[in-house]
Amino acid sequence: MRDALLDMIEGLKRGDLWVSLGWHDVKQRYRRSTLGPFWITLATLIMVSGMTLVYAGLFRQELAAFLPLVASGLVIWGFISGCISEGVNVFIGASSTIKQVPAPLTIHVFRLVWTQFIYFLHNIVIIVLAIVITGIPVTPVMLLAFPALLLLIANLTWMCLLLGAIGARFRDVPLIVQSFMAALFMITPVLWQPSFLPPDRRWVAFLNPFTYLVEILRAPLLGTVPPFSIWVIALIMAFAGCICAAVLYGRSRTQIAFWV
Amino acid sequence: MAVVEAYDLGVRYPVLTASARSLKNKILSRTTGGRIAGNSAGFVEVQALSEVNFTFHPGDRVALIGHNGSGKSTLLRVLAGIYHPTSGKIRMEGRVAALFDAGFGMDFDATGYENIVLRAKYLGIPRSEIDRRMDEIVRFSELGEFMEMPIRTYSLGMTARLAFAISTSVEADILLVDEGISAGDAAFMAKADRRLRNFIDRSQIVVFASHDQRTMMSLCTRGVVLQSGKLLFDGPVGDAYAYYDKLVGIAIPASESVRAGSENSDSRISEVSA
Repeated sequence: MRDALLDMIEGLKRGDLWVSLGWHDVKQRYRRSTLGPFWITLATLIMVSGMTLVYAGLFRQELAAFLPLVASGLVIWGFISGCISEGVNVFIGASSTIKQVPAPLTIHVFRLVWTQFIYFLHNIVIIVLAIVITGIPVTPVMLLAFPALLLLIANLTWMCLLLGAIGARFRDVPLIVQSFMAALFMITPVLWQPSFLPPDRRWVAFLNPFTYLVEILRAPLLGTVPPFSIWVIALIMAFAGCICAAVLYGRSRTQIAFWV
Repeated sequence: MAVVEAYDLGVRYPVLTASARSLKNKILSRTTGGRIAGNSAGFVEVQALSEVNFTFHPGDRVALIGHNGSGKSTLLRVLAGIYHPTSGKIRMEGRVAALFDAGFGMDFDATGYENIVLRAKYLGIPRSEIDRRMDEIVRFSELGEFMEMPIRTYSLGMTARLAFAISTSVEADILLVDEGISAGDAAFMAKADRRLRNFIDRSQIVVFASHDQRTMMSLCTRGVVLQSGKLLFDGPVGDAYAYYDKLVGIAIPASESVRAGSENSDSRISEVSA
């Protein structure tokens, strides 16, 4: 456990390395498409437009009210699902580096979260666009998005570390996680809100930890203050999750080089 | 001052079978008391190193001698901090540089320059030092205008040259070299050889694993013979090779008799059930 924490600090200290590796990953994605940086945003934009049209119809919502919900939901979910579905492969994907270069393994986790964060920044343009189109007033409340984002990143980081270590040991876990991601997307209030559910079935949303991770960032981005309970839950999740991840990573840290 | 000390160093690692790599099988075998997936959940453990003791001092040029699978590469990886000892202890002082697979972490879509920067960051070289070394690396690798192009346009030899130039431009107290760090054509090989010797001269402790006896005899002062993960001999490199030759001379008929007779007599691979 102590070693695991030292490893995390050591990994953070190598920020120079994972920041440039992350940028490198992003640039790589630019290179593969002719539209470059705009491709990432455009792909999300198309998805947001399509989903808004279809689901506003299905849920009998007004387009203007529904657009910001879908835009913010999809962009935030893109960040979360990107971290999780790639996080479970984080050590497997870096196997050749892990076996050749002595470096704290946590750098691979930080690199992944950082890369996904850059993609998220590309997509945030779409949320701004939705806010402008639907005329949501810009208020200082929106600044709460910064602490919310920090909490979200803290939670995603421990998830990556935990899933990455499990995924390296048990090779069927990446497949299991990836096949559950689509279902998780549907049962998490990304395109809908818990209030859409009949009151006696809202517990489905409230039991889902991802509900809070989406909502804590979505609320301030759309100009409302997230309820105090959400902050508490997200904080507890971040704290408890970090401890879990540190314990498990502490136990598997020395083994990962053999597993991958 | 650089120093490397190993006390009863041991490394044991699992070679996981396909079924031991499956979480579903693991849960299934737990819940059914091992009846369903029981037998197939076993995994093999390899004792790659056991009870290895040594101390390397500044000035030591150590040759690791042993046939394939004797534990040379494992030992180098432990010294590099990639593998962690499962028993015993290792104490190291000084900055370590590892020259293993020269081609690690090369990004084929990135240019030569970008690759230098990326690799140098992996090796923990500060930015100012990278900039200072850049010209020298480019000059040595003789890649010229190719440096601006993605390295997927390079030939194999060109990539190897670049990788070699970067890896050998670091400063280290303890240098670890695994065999097979070749770099390009014959003319370049001579140049690379000089550079490698220069690198070795700059380092306080060098640990070398190679099957090339001639090179090892000329570069090293001390020889460590490993077999089946055990340290059998530690002394001057000439004596070490003499010991090794005698050992191999005995080992060949011995291993044949093992194959003919019982199979598990001296095997270091043991079956463990999960």
